[in-house]
Amino acid sequence: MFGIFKPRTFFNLANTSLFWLKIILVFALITGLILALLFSPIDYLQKDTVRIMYVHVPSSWISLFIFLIIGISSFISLIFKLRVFSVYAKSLAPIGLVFSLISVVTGSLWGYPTWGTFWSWDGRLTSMFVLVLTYFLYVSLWSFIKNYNSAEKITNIIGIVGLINIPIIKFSVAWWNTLHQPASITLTAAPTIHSSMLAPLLIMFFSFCILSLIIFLIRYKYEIINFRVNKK
Amino acid sequence: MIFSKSAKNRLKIFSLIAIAATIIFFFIYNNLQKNVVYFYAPQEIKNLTNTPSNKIRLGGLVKEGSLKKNNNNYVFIITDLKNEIFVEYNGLLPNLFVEGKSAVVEGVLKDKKYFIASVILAKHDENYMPPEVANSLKKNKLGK
Amino acid sequence: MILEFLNMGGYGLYIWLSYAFAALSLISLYYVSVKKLNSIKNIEHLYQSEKVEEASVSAQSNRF
Repeated sequence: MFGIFKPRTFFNLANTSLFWLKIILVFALITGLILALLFSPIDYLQKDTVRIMYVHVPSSWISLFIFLIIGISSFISLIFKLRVFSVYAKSLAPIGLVFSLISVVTGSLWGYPTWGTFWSWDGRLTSMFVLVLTYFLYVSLWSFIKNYNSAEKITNIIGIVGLINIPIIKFSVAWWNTLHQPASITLTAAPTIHSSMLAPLLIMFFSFCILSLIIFLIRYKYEIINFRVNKK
Repeated sequence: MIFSKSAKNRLKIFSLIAIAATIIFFFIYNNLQKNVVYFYAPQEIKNLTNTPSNKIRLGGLVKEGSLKKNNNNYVFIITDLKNEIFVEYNGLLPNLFVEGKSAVVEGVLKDKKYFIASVILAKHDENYMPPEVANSLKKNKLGK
Repeated sequence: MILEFLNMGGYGLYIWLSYAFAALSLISLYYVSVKKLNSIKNIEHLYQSEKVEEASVSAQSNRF
């Protein structure tokens, strides 16, 4: 039952599937970018700045989703000592860090022409800032603590504690008055984004997912070899 | 089996910590709810017992037809459709500042009906659509 | 035509900066990862030749 969690499963997958993933990525990314930059219409209020959303929103989703996986993996690793889960989390963290940074930077670049400010400490922006800091802490602890076992234990705890922030980010726009707009795409209601804008958004999200998977497989391969070497 | 004796032990300790953390979280959350307000709605200003003298933010809809311009001096009404507050502002307006849409203004309350703003932020809503769709929506609304 | 496209209705600066930042950071992340892997590739065969071991589920960890 736990066969798929053997380190080897992903290792062999990494060898065979990277090529195909790259081809899918190229096609999806080109389609997504053409739609996002050329064929999608302008927004009635934001005009062309709506195009920033096609990078901003997928990056934010992925940075949240990756932290969710890191948190759950940390929990499994800490409690059940399935140590390969720490390796998953360690391989994913830099990807999440980069996407959270992209989310914050593109968000600021969107905020200036639309809101009139690059940054404001409202609920959403503050909690997202905390996520970036948590990612920084997580990644830097892995590189600063030389002893693998203690680094693993401490980062596991960071991962679990940081998990609290995820629902805060998600629901900040519903709980508090924020400058940031509420969610347009929810599980319960129809999206409030016109379909001509939803298409590039979802395609860009798909491409970013594939890209994350590719980078994850590469990093996982590195980390699992590293883990073996450290063990000896 | 992954549920070894020590794993069960760790799980117990972890659950205890998790329960404690949840309680602390809700405690902090409730406090935040009361104290950390990014902006006040007009109704919340009305309910305040005294007029705060420090810088606060006020948010709501810019009342349609209320924006008056005099050089770089603007006066408009922020409303939550029940209460209205006059806002005076001197400076440049952000591009997305439109009547009938939301805005957040930063400044001080002169009294409960009059706000002097030093910063204006346009607030975007969750609707994204091309201009044609927005126009036809507007037409339908007017046709009713 | 091309200038019009680059200008993006006056918001070109913000849009292109956003896309450039995203592209640059993702590409560098990719290359750093590949470089890291390549630096230890010479020992990959060690891993490949070993028998499948349930290292992950091992109880050899010295924690707690």
